[in-house]
Amino acid sequence: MKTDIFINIQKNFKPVCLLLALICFISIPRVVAQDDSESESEPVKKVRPILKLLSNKYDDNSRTLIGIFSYKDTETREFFKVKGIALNFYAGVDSIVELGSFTTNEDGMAVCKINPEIKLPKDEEGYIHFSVEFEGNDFFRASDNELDLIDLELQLSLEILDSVKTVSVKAEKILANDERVPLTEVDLPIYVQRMFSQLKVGEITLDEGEGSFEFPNNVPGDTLGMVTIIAKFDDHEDYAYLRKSQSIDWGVVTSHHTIYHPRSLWTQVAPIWMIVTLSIMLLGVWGHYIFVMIEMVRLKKGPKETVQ
Amino acid sequence: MKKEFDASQLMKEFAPQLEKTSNLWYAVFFSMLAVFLFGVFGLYTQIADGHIVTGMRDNIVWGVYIVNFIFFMGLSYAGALISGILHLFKSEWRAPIMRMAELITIISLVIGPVFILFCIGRLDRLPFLVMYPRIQSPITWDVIAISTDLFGCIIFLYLSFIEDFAKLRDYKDLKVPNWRKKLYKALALGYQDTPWHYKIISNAKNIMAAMVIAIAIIVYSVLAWIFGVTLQPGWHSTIFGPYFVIAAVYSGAGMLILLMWIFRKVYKLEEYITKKHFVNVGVILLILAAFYGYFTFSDYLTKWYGSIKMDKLLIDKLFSSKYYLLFIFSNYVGILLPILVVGIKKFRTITNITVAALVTVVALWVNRYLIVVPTLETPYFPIQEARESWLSYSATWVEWSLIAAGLAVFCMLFMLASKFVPIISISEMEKHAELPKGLIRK
Repeated sequence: MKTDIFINIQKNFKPVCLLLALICFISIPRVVAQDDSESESEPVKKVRPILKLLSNKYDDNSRTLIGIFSYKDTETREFFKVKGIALNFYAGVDSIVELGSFTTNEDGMAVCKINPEIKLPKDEEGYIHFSVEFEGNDFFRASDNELDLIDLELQLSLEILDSVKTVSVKAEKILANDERVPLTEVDLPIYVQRMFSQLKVGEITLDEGEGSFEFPNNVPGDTLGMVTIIAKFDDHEDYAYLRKSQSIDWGVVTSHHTIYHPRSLWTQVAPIWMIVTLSIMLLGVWGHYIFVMIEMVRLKKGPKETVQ
Repeated sequence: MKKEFDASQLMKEFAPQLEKTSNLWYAVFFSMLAVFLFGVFGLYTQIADGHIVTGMRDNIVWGVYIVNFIFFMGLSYAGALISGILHLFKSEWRAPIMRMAELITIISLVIGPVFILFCIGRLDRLPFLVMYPRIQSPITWDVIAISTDLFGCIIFLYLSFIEDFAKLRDYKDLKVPNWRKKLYKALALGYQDTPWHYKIISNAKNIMAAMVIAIAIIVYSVLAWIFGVTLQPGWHSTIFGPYFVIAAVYSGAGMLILLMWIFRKVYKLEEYITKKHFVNVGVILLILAAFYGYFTFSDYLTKWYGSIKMDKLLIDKLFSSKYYLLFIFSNYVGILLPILVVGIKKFRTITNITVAALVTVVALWVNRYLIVVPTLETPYFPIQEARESWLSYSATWVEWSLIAAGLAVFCMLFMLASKFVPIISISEMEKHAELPKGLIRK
């Protein structure tokens, strides 16, 4: 029995050895490479953030810069806003004005309200160069963004001219050295504020910085007829977000209290249908009662001759 | 020996009931009187100390008084409906139980509205309901409807008594005081057993039977609308009118079976009130149980499915928390037991049917409690900063004493009525009763 086993081993020795050698050849270099990779400490790969810069100019001519900090997760391909990131805001190219450092909130937004007292540097064409900068940290690479805008001033006036509700707009670019240049051949949309959004009611084509628009008579207002009329650029390449608004009682007066007919039950007089119904029922029933009582009287005074 | 089933024979049998009063009768009557006087003491306490002695507060303004009001009014309308329908359909078997149904109507109708008065804080303003009525007000409808119904039921009951009064007047061997004989004579209105007299009485009874059926339905619907027209959770329902009517007739049928059993035992009326009567009224009970179950299911299903917040809170209280045991008793046991007892022939005995009827009556009282109290404990607009004790209701001894007094008065009036007129209508028996085999009608 033992002899047979040895004979088999001898017969198969060469192929088995070759197979083992092949396995060793394939696997050993990999094991070595694995050991190498574990032994070397590779630096953590920083994420490249997405940094946006927006500018809003409001009714009181104040301007706000908004830096939005986010990143894209390469695995899930989702975008995430990051809270607690310090962003530095600047204005100007040659002579840089530091506007301040602000930290992003849970929406990834850092809001920089520019003090109107600050004189913002402008280039020859009147552009103001805004920039935002992130210095980088252990997880995110440094990043920045910039925006070149022209300072534009809008004036909105609402008046009734010849019984026509007229919205008039005057728009001037404020260039270097406070030089004012009228805006021309630009379409400016006009909106009315609604509860959840803004309704576009028309558009003014500015000519030499001025234009007007006939406000429609069928726009619903609040209980006093008040509407808020807005002239604005939403995301203009030169002016970014810029708005001017004013409230006036040009809307149709609306009442949120639906006019119901007062409940008849609570009035001094009962409704006719109720009086009629009740009268018929009572007359019907009491009529029968009276008839039966008359019959009872007849019974009392019944003919005696019929008595057996 | 051939038994003759005529008026004189019936008079001989029923006269002792009117002539003699047993010690047991006195014992029961005075026990009831004691309960009634205890209720009077409770009422005195309530008037002297105010409604603070009751469980009713600012949130729960109605309690067991209203429950008893609805319950007694239901019995009343049931009595009217059952007696009216049996009369119009001229059922052969109705004769022995007609008077009981009619007495249920009147006695309940007298007692029921009194419970409304117990709820009112300013009784001195009660005349305003009549002095300054507003047709728009459901309370005014109720006052008009109940007074109309009471008047109609009294006429109907009186019409059914006239022939018996005449027989009592003409029965020479009746050993009662002279004043009672004179009273019978006056109340008989000169009725004689002639076709002319019979025709008048018969026509009048037919008219009044139709009237009491219609009025019973309308009046109990009006009572339901007092709840249904309000925007309270659980009450604002379009089917409350028919639901109340069905529930009323259901409880009334149960009460009729109970009274049949009691008077059958007390006055030994086994020959007249037989198993057939119990089974027949039991079948009515079964049909009404099915209808009542259907209405109950329909009402709660739509409320539950709608899931309006306050309705859901109310239904949670009824189905799964505070009141679920009472709800199961009222709406499962109270419906299924009569159906099983009457529906399965093996269980269809007089005792079983009576027990099922007793359960029905109690279950329907509980049902009214579950309609009134949990809703008031689940208001749309709870009173701000209400005290904890105001938010749930529990009846006090004062209220229970008056409830017991109401039931005691119900029993006492029935006992007194059974001493004044035969509890089984002799004239009905003579004309319409199914005679035992071999007997002839003279």
